[in-house]
Amino acid sequence: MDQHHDFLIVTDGLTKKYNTVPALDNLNLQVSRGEVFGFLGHNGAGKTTTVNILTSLLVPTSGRASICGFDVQAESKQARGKIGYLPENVKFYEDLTAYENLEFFARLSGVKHPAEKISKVLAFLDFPGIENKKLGEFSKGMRQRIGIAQAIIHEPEVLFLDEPTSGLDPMGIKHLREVILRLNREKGMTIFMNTHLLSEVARTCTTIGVLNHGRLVYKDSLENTLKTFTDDVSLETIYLDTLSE
Amino acid sequence: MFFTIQTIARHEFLALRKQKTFTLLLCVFLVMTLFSTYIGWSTRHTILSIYDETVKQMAAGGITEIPVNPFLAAPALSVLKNMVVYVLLIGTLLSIIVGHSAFARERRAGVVKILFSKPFSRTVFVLGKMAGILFVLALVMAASFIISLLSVSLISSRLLSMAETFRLFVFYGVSLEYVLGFAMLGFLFSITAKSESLALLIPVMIWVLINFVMPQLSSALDPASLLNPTSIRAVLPQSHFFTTIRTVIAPVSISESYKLMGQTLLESDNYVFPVWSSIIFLVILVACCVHAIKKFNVCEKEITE
Repeated sequence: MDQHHDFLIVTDGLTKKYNTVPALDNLNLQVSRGEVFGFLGHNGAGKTTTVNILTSLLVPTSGRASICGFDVQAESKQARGKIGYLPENVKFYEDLTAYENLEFFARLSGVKHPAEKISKVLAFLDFPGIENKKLGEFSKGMRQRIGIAQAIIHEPEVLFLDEPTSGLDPMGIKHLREVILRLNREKGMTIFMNTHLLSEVARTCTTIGVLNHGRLVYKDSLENTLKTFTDDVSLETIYLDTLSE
Repeated sequence: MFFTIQTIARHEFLALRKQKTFTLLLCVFLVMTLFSTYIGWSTRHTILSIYDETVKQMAAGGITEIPVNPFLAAPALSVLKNMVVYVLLIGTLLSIIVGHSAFARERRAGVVKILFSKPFSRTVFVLGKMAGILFVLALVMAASFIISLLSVSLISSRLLSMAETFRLFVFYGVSLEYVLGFAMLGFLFSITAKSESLALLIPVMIWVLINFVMPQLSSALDPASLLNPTSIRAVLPQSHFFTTIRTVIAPVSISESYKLMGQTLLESDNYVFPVWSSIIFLVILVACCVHAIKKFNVCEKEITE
């Protein structure tokens, strides 16, 4: 068990190199329970690598990380039991129906009686009547909803979203935003969201972190961030200023 | 752990049911099972007709000492002898597809990241897949067993005895073990090979080697052994080179051992269960599974892509 009980996500000197190229450089990060953490950064900054390590999909070159006190390497099974994960460009078994896909992932997440959970989660996402449709017939937005459904069906403590708005239309983005806020407020989920959309961060996140070339260059609550800077300074300016420093 | 293994195995069955290549090969295999009984019966009927015609001609020629028809003594199950070949060719190919699909499907669907973010170990994943493969192939063999049982009973105009039914059951049990080896081969390469095409190509090459090349270098160099129904192998003069090759290759030719087992079980009254061959093959199978579990690792490239 990890010693940092106050934080659900902790990274300590987390470093990842692909061959000799560093993708993540000595990342020290803490995310508290109930936060909606927006992880900002340019393409290739190391956001997805961070999530891949936190979800135990990748092994870090050095450093350590924990989820709900469980080390993501040494206690990876317990750590993965606490999380839900929606990858960027989520994909499913296209020849199976939405129900069959969700049932499979729900069971793998340890849900013993998935039928009831599936109807509940689809109702929560305002997505009823699609159980018997094949995923191959779904639009990007519909797949994204199924992606969220599989990630939250076991009611995890921490939810990882990797560029969740990627490829969604404005309606889809609005719906996703509402879902994220409801998951945080109603279910008490801690959410870690990779994004490069500043407008989404401003509307949904409670804390932001900025990653630049694998290094965490800024982290504070959204409230403090907006207080520190004058009201008319946009988040975009803050972001660009941080990166240029 | 058992719940996850069961979930993965169940999913394997569900996904295979919807896979066209599998369905096609399964249909071909089951239809050939039915046809094998008919072909066996038809061949036997033709041979008996030829025998009767020969007897008539011999009697007309004044020959009174007529040998007993050796085919009358053949067991009822001998009409299924073609099944040995169908299992060797179609059954094993079907199994390679089943084994290969077990992980290729996840790669193709792009669900690897979601899948391995779930709380189970990779050993459990491999065990679940193996259980699914075993279940699917056992169902295929069970279906084939039922078809054979009913069709032979129908053609013989009687229900098969308990001893005959048991012998048929043993034949399909041994066949399951044999095809399972090929399925594991397909699975092993699907989780270890770097590309999907290579993952399919290597097991198919091994399939060609085992089913075509090795028999050519063993029993095909001893043509008299293929004469049917006689069990006496005529000693024909052969060069030392061919004799040596056959002597070396024959004991390690898995397909030849299987053919011999099949022929013994279906065509001989005094069959002996091939204990040692089965144990050796089972050991290879288990080694294959252990290697698959140890070797399995979702590579970094797969995750980062």
